[in-house]
Amino acid sequence: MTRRSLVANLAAQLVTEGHDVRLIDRRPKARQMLSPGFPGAFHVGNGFSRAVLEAAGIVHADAFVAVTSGDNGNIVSARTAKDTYRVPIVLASIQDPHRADVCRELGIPTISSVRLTGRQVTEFDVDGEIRVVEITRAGRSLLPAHGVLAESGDLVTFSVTATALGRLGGFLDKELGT
Amino acid sequence: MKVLIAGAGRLGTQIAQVLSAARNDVTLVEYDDDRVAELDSLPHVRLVAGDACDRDLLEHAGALACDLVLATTGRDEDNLVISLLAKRRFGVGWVAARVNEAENAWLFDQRWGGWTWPYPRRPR
Repeated sequence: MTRRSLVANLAAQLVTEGHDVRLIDRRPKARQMLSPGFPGAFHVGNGFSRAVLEAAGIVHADAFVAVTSGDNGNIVSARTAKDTYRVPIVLASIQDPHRADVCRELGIPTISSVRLTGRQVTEFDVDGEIRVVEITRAGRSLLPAHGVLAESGDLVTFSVTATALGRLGGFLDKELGT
Repeated sequence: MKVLIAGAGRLGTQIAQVLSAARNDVTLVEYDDDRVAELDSLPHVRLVAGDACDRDLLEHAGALACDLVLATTGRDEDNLVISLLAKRRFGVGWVAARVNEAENAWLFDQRWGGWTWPYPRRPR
């Protein structure tokens, strides 16, 4: 399931790390954004179609990431992966903060595709409101010590008070120019 | 009975007309402003312009007090999210959703909050 910058990089990195990666996209043309030698399977179809998901091997998947440009489609496919197919790790990319709440209530962490590379992750901390609690890099978790720089492909987890969610959203949108 | 219908396509509009003629209190939510303007003359139906997948809009449109929510948009993922919000957030007693694509019918069950009826698309 694909959004250009995020997915091509993520897929390429996962393949480099030796993972078996399968992509689903509604548009057959989306295959073109992958590098020519990309070894992962590509399935054309809907991210919540049973036939497509099962052909892509969801029954044995260890992780599922829903990153289309449509929030609702991501919620539906992520929840299907989590609750119907019991995929252990499920993440969804959600743009709208309200829908991100819906997703979290379903027990699905949401991700935001912003460019943090090269920034000190602790600079996002706001005392009592926003804290970077974890960085997942190449499948390992790091505690965000002072001076740790974000690298391409990192998954940065924030802990945010409900009242500061809008602030974090605005911060990621404006300060980082995404 | 208080009814909220999301999606003022052919199906949503017809149901709105039938239910309002039967003296139900009907609110019809539609994303497309032009379509809302077109339906302005619909008798006894309250029209709300906006995204029915937005919980604030649903609340504003009266979802908390509704007896029945019908998700009749042309997109199955939207109908599923509307059903989920209606059931889980607003505790609506009856929720039903339109299935646009037959291959998505398997998703429409209690997990998303409602019961469903198939509504095949007319060829355009």
